[in-house]
Amino acid sequence: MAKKQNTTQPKPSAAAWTPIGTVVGNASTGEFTFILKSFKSRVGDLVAVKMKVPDENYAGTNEIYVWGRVLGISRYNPFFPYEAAQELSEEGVSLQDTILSNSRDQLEASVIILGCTNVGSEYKNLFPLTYPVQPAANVLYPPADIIKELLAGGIPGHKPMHIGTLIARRDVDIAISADRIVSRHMAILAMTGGGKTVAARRIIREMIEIGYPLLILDPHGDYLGLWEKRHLFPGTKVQLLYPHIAMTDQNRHIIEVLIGKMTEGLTEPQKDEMGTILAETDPDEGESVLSYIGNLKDAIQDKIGRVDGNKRKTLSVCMRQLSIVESRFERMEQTNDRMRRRMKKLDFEQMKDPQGRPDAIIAPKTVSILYLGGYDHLTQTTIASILLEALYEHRANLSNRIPPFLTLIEEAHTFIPSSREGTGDVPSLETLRKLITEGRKFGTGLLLVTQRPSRVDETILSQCNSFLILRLVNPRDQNFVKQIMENLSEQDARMLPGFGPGQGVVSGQAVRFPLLVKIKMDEDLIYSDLGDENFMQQVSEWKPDKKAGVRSRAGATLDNLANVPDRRPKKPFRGADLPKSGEERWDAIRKKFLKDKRALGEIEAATGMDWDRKRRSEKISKLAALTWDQLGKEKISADKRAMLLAMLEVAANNNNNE
Amino acid sequence: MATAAKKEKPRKAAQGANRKKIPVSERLRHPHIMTEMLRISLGQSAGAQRDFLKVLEGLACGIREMLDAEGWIYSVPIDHAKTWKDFAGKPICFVDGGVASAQGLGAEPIGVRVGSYTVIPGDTSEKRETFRMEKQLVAELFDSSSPDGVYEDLYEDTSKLRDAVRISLELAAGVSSLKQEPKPQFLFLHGALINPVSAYGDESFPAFSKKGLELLLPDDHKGREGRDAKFVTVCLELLNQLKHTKANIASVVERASGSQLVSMTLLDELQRTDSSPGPQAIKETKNKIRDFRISDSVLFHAILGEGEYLKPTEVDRNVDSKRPNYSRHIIAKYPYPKVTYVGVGEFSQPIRVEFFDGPEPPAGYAECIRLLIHSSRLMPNYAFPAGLDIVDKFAKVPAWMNRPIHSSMSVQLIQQALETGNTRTIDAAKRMVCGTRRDWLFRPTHNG
Repeated sequence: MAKKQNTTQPKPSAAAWTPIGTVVGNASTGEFTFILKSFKSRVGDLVAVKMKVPDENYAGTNEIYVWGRVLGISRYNPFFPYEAAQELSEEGVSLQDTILSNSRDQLEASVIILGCTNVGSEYKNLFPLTYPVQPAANVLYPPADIIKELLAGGIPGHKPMHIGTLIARRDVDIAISADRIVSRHMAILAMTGGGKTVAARRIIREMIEIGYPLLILDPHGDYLGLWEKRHLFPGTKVQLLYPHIAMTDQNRHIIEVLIGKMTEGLTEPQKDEMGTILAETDPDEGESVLSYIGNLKDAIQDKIGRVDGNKRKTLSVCMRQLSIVESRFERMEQTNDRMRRRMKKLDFEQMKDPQGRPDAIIAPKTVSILYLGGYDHLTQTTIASILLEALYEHRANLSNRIPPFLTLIEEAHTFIPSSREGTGDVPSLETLRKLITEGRKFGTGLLLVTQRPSRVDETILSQCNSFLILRLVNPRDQNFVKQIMENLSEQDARMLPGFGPGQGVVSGQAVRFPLLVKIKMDEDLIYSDLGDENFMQQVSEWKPDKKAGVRSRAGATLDNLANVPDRRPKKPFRGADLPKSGEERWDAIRKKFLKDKRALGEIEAATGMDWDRKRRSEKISKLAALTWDQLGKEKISADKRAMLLAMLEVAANNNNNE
Repeated sequence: MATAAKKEKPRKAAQGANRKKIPVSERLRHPHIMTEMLRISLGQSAGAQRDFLKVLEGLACGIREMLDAEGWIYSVPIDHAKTWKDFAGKPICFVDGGVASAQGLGAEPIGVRVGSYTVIPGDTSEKRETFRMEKQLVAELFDSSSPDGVYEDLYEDTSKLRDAVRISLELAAGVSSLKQEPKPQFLFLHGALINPVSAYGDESFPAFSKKGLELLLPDDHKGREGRDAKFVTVCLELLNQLKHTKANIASVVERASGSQLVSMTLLDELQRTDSSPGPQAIKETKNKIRDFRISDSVLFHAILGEGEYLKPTEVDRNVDSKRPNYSRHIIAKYPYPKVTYVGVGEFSQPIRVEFFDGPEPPAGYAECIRLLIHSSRLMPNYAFPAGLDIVDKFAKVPAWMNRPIHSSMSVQLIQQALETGNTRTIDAAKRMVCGTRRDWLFRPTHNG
């Protein structure tokens, strides 16, 4: 029941409250249905019913406005029989040419009740309705200024963020609570082309206006335009970062994290050994991870030469895992570098160490965009995990080195995949779980953006207290959204596939009640060099690179040489006859290992090559005693034999160098 | 006026039809006619049931033979595109009424409304369709305390009073609709065009009140009293007003009835033709129809094929022998409807169409029936003019309107009874409301 409010009198609205229909059927405190006048309202509109309810003491009545949102409108022509449709189709006759009627459509609108306000008091004080809507009551279409007042009510003291307008009424702006987003998290869910980046950009812009620190994890470069358009945000620092994990004396444990997250991990003895090596190998301040890994490998190599037995094996494993991390990092840095170089206009900076220099990433009036393009998913999630873990620690330790901040995570399904995806625990999953559950305490808010909600971890997503759902066509995604959003009505869920770009439903703690919204498009923030790739145009305009002519001419010349007869006759067993060549090479190399006491695993560690996990414990001397053919009889395939041969050649070469 | 339409010449079915004919014997075995036949034959003795189909087949074949020979069965070409093109731009009006099933306690409330739906085929403007409530009446049949009753006095058979109001209002709505814009070129009413009125013609049947007359005859109600204000006179006046307009007027009945009037009249007429096998055979035929209770709708369903119709036949609904002396001379002036049965589709029952006697409507029977057949074929299963279906839905008094009337009257009665404080009166009121003693209100309690 609405409480009697002795607040200031509302300003009289200039426009009238237009009657648009009549309540029919069974009305309750939660919903009602009304027959709508033609063309007088549409889905998403806010409507009102004026009626009386008992006052607090049941001594009299109060007059209230009941507010509701039009959830759905069904339209039917009671004068058009089904069977007539069949006949018209069969005969190819237009309805207009016959005596059938098509002018008396009936519109039945279903409304979900949002609450009520007292007549005569301010519209921003919304109370739950505790007395059912009066059947046959007039349904009113309120003027825009009244709706604005109702929506502007929001949460007292909270900063409103303008995100767009009502779908049904472009004259009514919608604002969401910035406070609720930064403390209670929000998710933007939409299929590709649904407008999720547009919505995210809108929120970012509003956050920038507030001066709230922002961190954006951007795997596709959707937010790089913010840097290009930074002149639109005077007084705000927008920085483009590329991942660089700089080593310091304090953060050398990153290597253990990387090994743990990028490889199968280490056993406890192996971890001990790795810890020792890390302790013994000091990184240079600011040294890159790759360089430090190289130093660690050298240190291990050095140790391997001085130990044997199990210790040697343990070190070999450490060596191998470091090689894997090194190779992955190398690859991703190269790709990211190539992609950054393509965007010549943009000025990327190396990301500072989040452990040592978090304030270089998170600061008031600072937007840090971490471009993760080109990195594989595992690497992206590892970087995100390391970065966010470090930032969270700073907040959780109450060290006051960084202020509260909001992290926007684009492609959230990559960073917090559902267990159903079978990707296992990606590194960022646990970190983000911590951020989302503790974020309210420490000010580490998340804005998750994804086009595949069903592939996101359900527990984490359901921790978001506010949702902006734009167009979703995939039935699995729709069902998933229905599961995690308790207040999403069936009718709203049915609308999801039909939303146009930028249209959606916003609900949760950031708004007073669920609203159908059209997101405002910030066209001035779109990065000019990105957007949809036009491959057709690229092909039509494609020209070979400058060296293509050289390649072509050189190739033709060399091809001609093939026709010139050899001055010396070819040796009979050279060329493509690899087995014979392999046999010859094997006979030459194996003699060097006949007395070698090392196990094959040690050879692998020494060379950094993988040969055969199952045979790592076997002595190399045992295989060296066999001929090429005998190796075959030992069930070692031709490929394996070739690999073994290559490994021994590398090992022999290393021995010679030593 | 309809004369602008290109008038279709009636085609004799036996000569002109080019569609594949389904023989009577085969038509009789269609499931749709079988159901109606079964319904009739099940009410008969075992022997009659056994012979029913055989008799019906014989009758249908024989009568069809004679009708074909006389050229009394006509055929309408089924062609939606051409038909609607021909009727484009001509306002067509459909009229039907709805009666509220309100029941009073000690009162006789009546609620009737008659709507019209006028449509101009082919028109794409907003003027294409016009829905109008031509006549609405919510009143007491008779109210001695005020001049608001429909009749001047009450009559013991209140259902007759109600019927008379409904019949008159529908005719009055027809008259009214013809005065509205756009002026209809065709007017189709639902139900019989000329009803039997003798039952309402005795002296004790009350006259319409001033209020009733104002509603029924807005231009000609002043000074009417006594016999001139009685139903038979008012109804005749309305029929004459309709008959003398330039519109093409017909009424349509879709429900099967047990009437054999058309088949009997038709056989009488056939007896006077050269096709007749003789008076005895015709008499025998009529006896068979009576003995086996073969109704007009069943017989003509068996006889008529798709798009076929009978020569409109004049029938006497108000036979002299039944006319009460008090209004005999008035009833004698009633028109004789010209009735035909029309086969809309092979699998649907024929509809009964009635015209005024005298000359054909301006557009001719054939054009009216062509329009009705094509309107009915828009609902191929129900096979009833779609325009009448539309106006029926429009004018129907929905249940939600009926219930509150009854509830409100019940509450008033109980309140009055409670105010008396007399337990016997209260009990009596409760019984009146509930209608039975076996209601929870009368359940014995612990103290009796």
